[in-house]
Amino acid sequence: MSIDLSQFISTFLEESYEGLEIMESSLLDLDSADEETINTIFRAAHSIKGGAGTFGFSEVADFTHVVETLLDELRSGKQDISPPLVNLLLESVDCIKALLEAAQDGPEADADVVSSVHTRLEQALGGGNIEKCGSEPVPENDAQEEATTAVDNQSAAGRVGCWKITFIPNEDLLQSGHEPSFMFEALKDLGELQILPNKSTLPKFSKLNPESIYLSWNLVLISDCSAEDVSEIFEWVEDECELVIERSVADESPAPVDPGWIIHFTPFETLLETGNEPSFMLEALSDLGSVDVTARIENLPELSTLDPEKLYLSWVVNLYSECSEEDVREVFEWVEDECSLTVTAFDSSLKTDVSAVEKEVSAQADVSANTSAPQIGTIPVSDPEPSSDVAVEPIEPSIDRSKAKLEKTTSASKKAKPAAESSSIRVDTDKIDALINRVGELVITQAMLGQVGDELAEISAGSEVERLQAGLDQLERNTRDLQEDVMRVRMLPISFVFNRFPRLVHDVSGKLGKKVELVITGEQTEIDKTVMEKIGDPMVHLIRNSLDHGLETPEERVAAGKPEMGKVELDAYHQGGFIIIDITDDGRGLNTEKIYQKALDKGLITADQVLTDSEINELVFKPGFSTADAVSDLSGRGVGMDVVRRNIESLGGHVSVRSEPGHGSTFSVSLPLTLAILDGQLVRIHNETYIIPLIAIVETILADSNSVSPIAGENKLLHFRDEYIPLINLRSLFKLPKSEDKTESSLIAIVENSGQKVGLVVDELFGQQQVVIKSLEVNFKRIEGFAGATILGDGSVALILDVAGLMKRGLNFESAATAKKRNEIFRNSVGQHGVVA
Amino acid sequence: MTDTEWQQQSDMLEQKTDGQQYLSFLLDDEEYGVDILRVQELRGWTPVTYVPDMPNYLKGVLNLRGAIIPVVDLRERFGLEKIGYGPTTVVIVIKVDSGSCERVMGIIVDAVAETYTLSADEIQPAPQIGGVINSEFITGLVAQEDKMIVLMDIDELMNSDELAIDQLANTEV
Repeated sequence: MSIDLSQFISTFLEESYEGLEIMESSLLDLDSADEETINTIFRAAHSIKGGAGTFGFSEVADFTHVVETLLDELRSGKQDISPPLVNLLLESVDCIKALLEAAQDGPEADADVVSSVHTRLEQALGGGNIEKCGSEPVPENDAQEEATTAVDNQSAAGRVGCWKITFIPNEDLLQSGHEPSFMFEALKDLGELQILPNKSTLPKFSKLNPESIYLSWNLVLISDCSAEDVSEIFEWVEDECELVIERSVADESPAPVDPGWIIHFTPFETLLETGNEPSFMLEALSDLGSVDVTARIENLPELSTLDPEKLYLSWVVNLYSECSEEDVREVFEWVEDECSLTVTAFDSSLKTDVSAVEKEVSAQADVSANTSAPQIGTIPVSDPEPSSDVAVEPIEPSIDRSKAKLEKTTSASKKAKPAAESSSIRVDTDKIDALINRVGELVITQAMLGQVGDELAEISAGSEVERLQAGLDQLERNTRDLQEDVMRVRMLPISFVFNRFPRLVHDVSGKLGKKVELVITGEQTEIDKTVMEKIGDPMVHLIRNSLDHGLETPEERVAAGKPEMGKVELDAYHQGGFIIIDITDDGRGLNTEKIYQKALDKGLITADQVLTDSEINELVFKPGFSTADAVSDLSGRGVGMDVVRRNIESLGGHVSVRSEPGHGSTFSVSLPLTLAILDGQLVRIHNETYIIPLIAIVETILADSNSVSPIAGENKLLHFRDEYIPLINLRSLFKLPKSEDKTESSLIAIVENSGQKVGLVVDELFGQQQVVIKSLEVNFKRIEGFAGATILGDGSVALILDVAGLMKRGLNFESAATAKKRNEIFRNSVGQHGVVA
Repeated sequence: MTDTEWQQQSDMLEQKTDGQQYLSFLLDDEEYGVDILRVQELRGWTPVTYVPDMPNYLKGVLNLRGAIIPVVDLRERFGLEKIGYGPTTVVIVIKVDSGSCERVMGIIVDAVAETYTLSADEIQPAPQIGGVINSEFITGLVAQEDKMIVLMDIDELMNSDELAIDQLANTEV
């Protein structure tokens, strides 16, 4: 594979993963069978297939093709969408993902799983109510469309005029000012057109001449027009192309496999009040395949009478997807009682690569411009025969649809709604990071200048100095704004993480036999990409935990007088430089007795310890803790809450739990908005300035010598609020000279990590400020106990303390015997926070 | 700069000057030389930020226009007598090839002396010597007038002992 092509592979993979995400979320939302959803899924699958074929990932292409075919059947209404089908398709999504990962030098996909899903998919293909479909061979190459549609088209012949047009333009057709897509448009005016481009002659991208046409087309026109009508369209180009126009009679006429669903989704006005959001469903539909969404605004009242809490819109969605009707209906699973929903199949959508002329490489743009009445009913996937229309449901005038589709043509994006499309560019994160670093420098330089300006103002006053000061103030504002803007570039809405949870909840609740409603709010809250990438797994764990341990079974719920349907709420919001994510369930709450007993059994606490309920709840974050009676498949696999806490704290975040027995529990995760900047407490130790991350600091106190208990001759424990907290003397840890100051009291910053508190003895507290974190590793190496360094306003370097590392170093610093002795005293005293050194 | 450009440039230099250029500096009364292409800049001494738990010769880190670089006192590295830092004390900022990455580091020397253009036949191999200055750190010896200049292998020196990249920690670099 040429280098030129390989640089597009990563883009393809990236887009494919996005496509898979879309497929997945749409599949989950498919229940209500919005046609647009199926189309979305279908389009996503189609794009992946097309791309995979182009880049030679034949396994992916083959597999996706079967998925696509199945989606096609669902879309055309030959199969009903059923939960098993949705699940099968979801599994297929996983398989495609695995295959893509394998193609990307990842671990080999599990061949057994893939082949089993593949087989089941093929079986499912037969499940349609059209016999042709069942016998349809599953092609194993990327040029499948011809094969799949060959059979279908046989039934097309005979009743209505059907023209088969083979159009092979000369390479220089475009240079004479002709444009194939215009001809296709003209053909569409004659009747229903199916367009199948032949991409086999497409050269490598490196050799591609943008002024040449490499594609040829097979067209099927269903129209009663005469041969002259057809040839007239090609009149101007007949010398510059090979053109074969023949009447198609039971002939092999290639046509695209592009089934889909027309979904009429008319929610009740009160839909929003129940926490549902149509845009998610539409988005979910877009995961099933490509979608065209038409919003109907007839019911929209005058602005003056509009109630913002009510929903006045309804939607017609064309979903190009092979998903089942169940898949579509599942999308609307949560709202089915609150809307009127019809899902009908159509199968006459047209696909062509008009844009392929410009975008040969992507070779996947879908133009589904269909000016004739859409085909509905129970005909083979790509049957171009209009007479078999069974108008099950009224359909949006197809003109609207084609318009929408044509609009889609210009972008190869698989976004759910045109409205949601925001113009964006892909930028390498390295470039953004470089930009952020540069702005960081600018902030430091600006701080330096500001300081000099202040000093200057003190020495001499004058209009020049004043002007300088004014300019510096302006510079400061601009720099801050610039920094914020640049930081925002890295910020993404947390919906990127949340999007995977509906699937998770769907799967897990199915396995557990629980009925669960997932309510997501604040998914537009923005968070740094790096943080987001790392928060996914802990979040998954917390949600699983809520589903598995938190929520009761439907029977238990009914017995407890609660609604059968459990509720898990995900809420994200900003709070003082942090993003807070609350995971709330309305389940049984934490069982403090059980937790206490378990902690006792595991030796995490001693019997004479008196703990408050919230302290007991905190115990779930201790290593080696799991209260599940039986180790289930879902949680309680040994990966406990301690791992969740460790992961979150490694990001500079914090997790806590609130619980009300019988009413549910809330796990609250707070995370810094970014990893590049940190709120720090500046402290002085000897002559050096250090920075303690503010998030780690519980409290800073001035402790007199009475509250510091010496152990083994050294001041080791601080008696603080009925706890004994080990102290780390940073002076001695850092091998700095001992303090000259012999005052009785010492300044202690109490920091917490993994539920363990430690007091850091410092000399002086300076201010708090935001600092840009700089790696020590770039030019030096990692040093345990330091998270990095930063540059202060005066240009000097200050090291940022890493509390976890310091605790490791500081507590190992003592000899084992001292530690043991201390721990004994520690355990036997009040200390609930058993320190294990 | 790509390798070929680099090669071309050094070829050009060799043709023009008939040899490689070295920057020499003083430590005590000894004169040492480093490949001038490795020298990024020369700075006057400014106080550095102390890094705990590092060997004495590692004086700390300083802010080089936003980059945090470690600074090594070569006197202490070579076990020479410590002297206070003064106006002539110079920090030579050098680029060190550390295998997986290029690191920028500072070395504190008494003063910068001269630049020499030395051809290969002027450089004598270093004899085996023990002590703190391992002969691995020395690429050769040059007699210049009545002085001896020790040419140093900056990569070997700056990747030795405590300065070596911690392989485990290096994953994120």
